Amino acid sequence: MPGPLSPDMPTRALRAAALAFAALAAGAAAALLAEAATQDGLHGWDVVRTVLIFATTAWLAWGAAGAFAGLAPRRRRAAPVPLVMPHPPTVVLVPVCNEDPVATFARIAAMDGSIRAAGLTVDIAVLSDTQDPAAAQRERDAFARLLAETGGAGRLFYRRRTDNRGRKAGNIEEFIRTSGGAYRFAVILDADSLMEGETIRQMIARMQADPRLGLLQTLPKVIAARSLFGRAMQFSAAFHAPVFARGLARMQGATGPFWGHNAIVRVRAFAESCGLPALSGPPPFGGHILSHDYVEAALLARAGWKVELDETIEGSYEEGPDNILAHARRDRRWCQGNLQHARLLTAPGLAPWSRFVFFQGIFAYLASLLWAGFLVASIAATVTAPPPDYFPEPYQLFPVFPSDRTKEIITLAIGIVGLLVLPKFSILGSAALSGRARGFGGRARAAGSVMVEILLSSVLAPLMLAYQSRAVLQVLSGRDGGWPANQRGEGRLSLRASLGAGFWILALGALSLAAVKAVAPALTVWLLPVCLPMLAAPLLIWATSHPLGGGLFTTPDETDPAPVIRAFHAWHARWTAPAQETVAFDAAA
Amino acid sequence: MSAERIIDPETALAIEATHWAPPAAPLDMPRQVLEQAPRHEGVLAWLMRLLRPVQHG
Repeated sequence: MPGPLSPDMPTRALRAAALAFAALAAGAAAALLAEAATQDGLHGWDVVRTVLIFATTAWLAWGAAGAFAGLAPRRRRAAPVPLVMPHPPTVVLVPVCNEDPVATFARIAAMDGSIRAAGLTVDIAVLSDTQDPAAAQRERDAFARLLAETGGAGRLFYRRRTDNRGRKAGNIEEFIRTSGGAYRFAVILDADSLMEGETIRQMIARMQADPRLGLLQTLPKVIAARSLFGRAMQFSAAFHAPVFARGLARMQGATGPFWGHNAIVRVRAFAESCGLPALSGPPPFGGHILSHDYVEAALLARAGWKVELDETIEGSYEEGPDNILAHARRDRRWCQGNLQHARLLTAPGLAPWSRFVFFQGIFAYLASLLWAGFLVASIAATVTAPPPDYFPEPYQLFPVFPSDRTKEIITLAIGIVGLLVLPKFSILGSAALSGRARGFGGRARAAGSVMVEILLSSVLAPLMLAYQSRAVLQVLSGRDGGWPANQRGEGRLSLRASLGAGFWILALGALSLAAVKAVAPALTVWLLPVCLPMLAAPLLIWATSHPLGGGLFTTPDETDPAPVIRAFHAWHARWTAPAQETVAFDAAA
Repeated sequence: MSAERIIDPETALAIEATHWAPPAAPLDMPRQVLEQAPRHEGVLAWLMRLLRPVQHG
């Protein structure tokens, strides 16, 4: 087992700079608010909202610092790391649970072809946790067809657990316990992941070249989005995420992240370090660890293994949620998983940075509640403020009017909006200068896409805040959300379903607006940016689940799909085509 | 003609075959310790220890 890891000087310096930037920005925001709020004297609510604005601004500034840290491109490698042949035995793991078997096995067929074309001998194991007997039968049928059509017996495997204890982490663990000794490296994917054979080749070479590297995480690009919401996320993942990820990689150093899929692990390191125990007590805080990937990354680092993120590795793909409801469902699971990490903040032997990563994950969800708390505190401060005293001195001849606080508040608002949009505009500027914008339809179209994405995410922010706050409150009140199966490809929502899902947000927005209008009419206009999208929640949920025309949100993988994506579409079309067409396809082949 | 054309894929049911399973090569995966052992003494005992008179000599 390797010795403990300690961050190098550049990593330490970058972390310190990012923390200092976040503290400075938060301090400035708190000072501005305190100055504006205490003009009429210091009151309890002023203290509360000053503390809240400090915490929320620190969080925003920390995110912005990550983006700024990633703006400078990486220094180019002299040459890609060569693969030494014969390469170590490697397996691609595809955990599935109630997925569409045709799409899943079409991806596997495409990857199998791509892997062989890259000159690799790599096995692929489908690890099924599907419990429904009919769905399991469909998986078996699809796998039999996959074997028959690819000649994959001996390199493509399928096994199903009847007891899906530990969910995905337990599924992988069971494979390692029974078959891990046969492989040196394992590429862990999700059911909706796709990876080029050349990418896997490059990852094996990187693991081969660095014996201390325990896990190498790629930045998967989102593909196959159709709706406005999905395509905006897909664009954001292709355009903004590489810069954010580069900043993250620089900040995390060798204590990098694991996102649970589209990564390669050293099987021995994973087996030695990542056997996860169930936490004492019942869910949501006890029981099986829900967000296992962050914990596995922390445990690898605890054992002295390097965990690295490399956003420059191309050919790694995943699919994303195509509407707000699917996103909120996934986020509910992530929320519970991240808040559960509170139990692990004091886990023995963890690197300080791993603890900080847990803290970040927890804070990412608490931030929504803090923003909501800030709004409530601001209203309460206005309602409970004493009436202005125009004649504070006895025998005063002229009245003293309270000074206007609008300037400070507007400066504060501009600062906060700046922290949100400046990283994105910086990324746009950098992409325009470096020529990266060409892949996104050119500078003008990329700029248009960035503007619309900012507008859309601003309009949807109150909805996300509502969903996230509800999720946090549910978890804090002890409600276990479980692990609902992914509903991929559900896409378009009906107006009725959108109304059903978003009515509570509409009602909350209407109630908030009515209450504010009654108790603090002066604040009504300030609350409109939050309350109007809430009033339109069902409409927004419905509209964003539908496709968008106009050529916005173009990504390079859309205009020129990678070979493995094209192969997946070909396999999928073949397996979903009527039988006669398939026979004609066979005959033509 | 490939196998699935002879066996109608619409009606045939695949049976999980032994060669479908990944190779058997067990590897130990020890459970990691993530939680500190609970301290049975409690806060009261800790406070009492603080209040204990210092022994000189």
